[in-house]
Amino acid sequence: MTPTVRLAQVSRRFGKTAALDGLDLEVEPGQIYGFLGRNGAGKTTTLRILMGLLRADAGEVSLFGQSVRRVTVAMKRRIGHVSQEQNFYPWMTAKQLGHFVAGFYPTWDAPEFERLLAVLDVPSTRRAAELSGGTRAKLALALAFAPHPALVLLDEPTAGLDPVARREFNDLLADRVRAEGTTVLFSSHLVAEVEHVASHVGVIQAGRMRFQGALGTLTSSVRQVCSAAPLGLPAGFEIVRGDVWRAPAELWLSTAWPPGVQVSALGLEDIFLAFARTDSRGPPP
Amino acid sequence: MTRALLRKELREHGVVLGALYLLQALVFLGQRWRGDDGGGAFVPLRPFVLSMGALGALVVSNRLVVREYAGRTQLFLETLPVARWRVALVKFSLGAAAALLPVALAFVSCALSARGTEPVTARYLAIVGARTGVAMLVVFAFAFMAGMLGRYRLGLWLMLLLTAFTLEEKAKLPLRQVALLRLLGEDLPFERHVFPVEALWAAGAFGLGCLAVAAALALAREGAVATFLAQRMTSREKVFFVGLSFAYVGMWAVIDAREVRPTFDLVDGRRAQVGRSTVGVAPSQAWRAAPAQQAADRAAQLLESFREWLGIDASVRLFLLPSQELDPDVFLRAGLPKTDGVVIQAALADPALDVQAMDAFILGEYLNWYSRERAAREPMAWFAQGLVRWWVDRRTPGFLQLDHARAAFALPHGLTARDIRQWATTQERLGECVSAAVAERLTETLVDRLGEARLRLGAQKALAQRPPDDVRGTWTNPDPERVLGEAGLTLDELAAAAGGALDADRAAQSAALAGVPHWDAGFEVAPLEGGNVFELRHHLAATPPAEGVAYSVRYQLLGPWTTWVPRSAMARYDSTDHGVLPLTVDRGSRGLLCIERFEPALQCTVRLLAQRWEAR
Repeated sequence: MTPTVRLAQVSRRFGKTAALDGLDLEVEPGQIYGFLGRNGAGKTTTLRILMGLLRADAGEVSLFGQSVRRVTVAMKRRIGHVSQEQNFYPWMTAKQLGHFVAGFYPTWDAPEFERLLAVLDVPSTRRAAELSGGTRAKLALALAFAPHPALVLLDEPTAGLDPVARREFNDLLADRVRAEGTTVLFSSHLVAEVEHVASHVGVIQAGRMRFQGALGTLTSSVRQVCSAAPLGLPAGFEIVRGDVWRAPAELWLSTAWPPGVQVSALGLEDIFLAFARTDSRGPPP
Repeated sequence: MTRALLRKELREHGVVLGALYLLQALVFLGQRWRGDDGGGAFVPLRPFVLSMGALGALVVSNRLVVREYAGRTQLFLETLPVARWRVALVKFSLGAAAALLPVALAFVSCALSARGTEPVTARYLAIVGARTGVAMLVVFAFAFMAGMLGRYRLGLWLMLLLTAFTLEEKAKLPLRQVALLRLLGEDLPFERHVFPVEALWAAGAFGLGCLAVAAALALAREGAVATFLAQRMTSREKVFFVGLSFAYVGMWAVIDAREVRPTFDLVDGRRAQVGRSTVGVAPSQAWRAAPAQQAADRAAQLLESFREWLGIDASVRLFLLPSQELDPDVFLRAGLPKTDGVVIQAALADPALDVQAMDAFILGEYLNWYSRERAAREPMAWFAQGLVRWWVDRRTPGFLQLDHARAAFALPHGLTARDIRQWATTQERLGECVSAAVAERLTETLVDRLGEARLRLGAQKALAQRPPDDVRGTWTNPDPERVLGEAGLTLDELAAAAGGALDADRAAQSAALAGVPHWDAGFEVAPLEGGNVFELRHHLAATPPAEGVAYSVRYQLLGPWTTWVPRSAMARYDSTDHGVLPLTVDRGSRGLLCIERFEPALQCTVRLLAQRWEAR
């Protein structure tokens, strides 16, 4: 199957800082892909490259199976986008914004937009400047889904939302994907949110992908190994950080551990922390 | 897409645009109501464009560009499927139309009111329309570009205004000659026939340049440059700009305004005007009013015919002052520290006055003044001197023959292109009278090779345009070698042709030249006792030998930066056979020493020796 999004060895620098350093990423059609990483790990840069707001310095970017140097207008019409910060025209109401955005999408579905506003409880006649942060995020989601895009990119859309609003937002996202088979790539540093919504995850650290795959694969391949005596690293295993090891699920099951060794499964948050923390207990270079 | 963008812009800025249009309409109607037409229906258009038109361009660009970027709403636009260039193009087109609309309406209003009161031709309307339209578009393009500069736009406007003010007030640069201001000049309502094509092109090119910069800012690095520029200034930047502004204002405050020297005028005196040439002559006690008037008439005639021949399109004023102290072949141009003009001192009352040389001196100094002294310097000097001398000589055939003999005497071995290029050196070696004759021979050779018409064309190209009296003049330095090159002639070819002409002259003038003895001039820097002080000994001997040979020594000590020394600035010491100059010099002193003698056969003071020396 052709991936909807594919990045191969993509790099991007801002002056001396490498925001992306040979990033690989693949999102298959119909996936909800949770893009996990700490602040400054490169999530926003990745999404901005996919939206055509930035250009990669090196590497290959493919969208809908096509390698692109520049994201064309035609491609953008197939992409919905919700950014971290909503820069709507403050004087426009939600309805006017819908009208305005409709002019750019041939596939714009006005009744669907109205419906989404109603479902998300966004007041259609209030100006954007008067909306709360959560309502603005929901408005952005409605604007992103109304043209029935094949791909939706969300850049920490729920940051700053209260738990109820976040849950509403995520439920709607899941509904839409189920209903239309939309591919979603959303970045977050809220692990629980990713766990709740995503089927696949990618963990980015310092501009590089540390892990990507199905959520289940991730939880079954990373475990904590505690032992009173020093323990050598068996073949096929890899230290993620400290006593957190990584290996294929089958290997975990087939390995005979010596007495006194305790192997325990980890939650996604612990796994993410093991990947994302960069203190002295990190993986060997 | 475009329609959605247009709708959005109109909805966002409609109210402000409406208020702006209302203000503009009230101002325009106020002007009309005051009857401020000054003699033409289009007169109110100019102040309207300069004030309300410019204000409109500023407001519209601020609304369309600055507001979008400063409000960061362009980040939202960028997430939509629309190309950046389309957004920029829509904004520019809409803004240009919005800024032009009131001016167009004012133009139509003026045109309608002109019907029945004055002849309104299509050409007249096209000229006024093109001038105002292009000017408005250029102003808007600049404002648009400034808007893209985000937080630096106010600094740009401030610097522009300060620079314009200081250049106009302090440096006295004619800013009104700038293409854009020329389009909106005072003749805008009255010019019915001539399209200011050059100004239209120049202003248009400037506008396109602004547009290109704006486009580059909008599109470069995926729009990141404009986004970055739109951010608020940091405290450090604010302090820097305030400091820069103070430094700028302070700098100009301590610089005195450039003084524009008034034109010299002679209150008392006889005056003659021929065409656009005016000559004033001051009579003296020894020299009455009638001959002074004659001299003025003659000089005015001479100047006017030369001005016409050279195609100089400017009035000329020149003044002659009689001086009893000067030799009849010596002429001086007065230095005028506080006024501007050409004032020449000569022994006007002396019956032996060298009229030919004086005419050439008058025209030469006029050219020097007109060219802001470029005609007196390399690389133009040989061409200007030769042209003037030839132009005077050809009016009296006898003079031509005399100059041929002088040139043949001075250059028995011909001359090279280097002699022409380094004319100051050649002139120093030959002296004024003979070098002028050589320059004349070069010009005559040019006439033979190119014909008078092409020479005249070249002279007009090199000398008829007066260079500006400001910084622009520094890169205005016409080179006759280039002018000759355009006519297909090199300096080497000219030197070779002139050498041939001199050979022919030598044969033709053999009788006159036979009367000139062979001179052996020399000098010596001789140490005195102790060896640190020197005296300058000189001598002149003739072949065949003669006793009591009279000559003059001209000398001048040279400073470290002295290059050219005019003859009038040199000290003169008359001697016979040999002698010692009445000065002693220290070791290391440098100087120039020339030995000259009036040669009756050539009717000219010839330089027999010119040498730069150093006491060692």
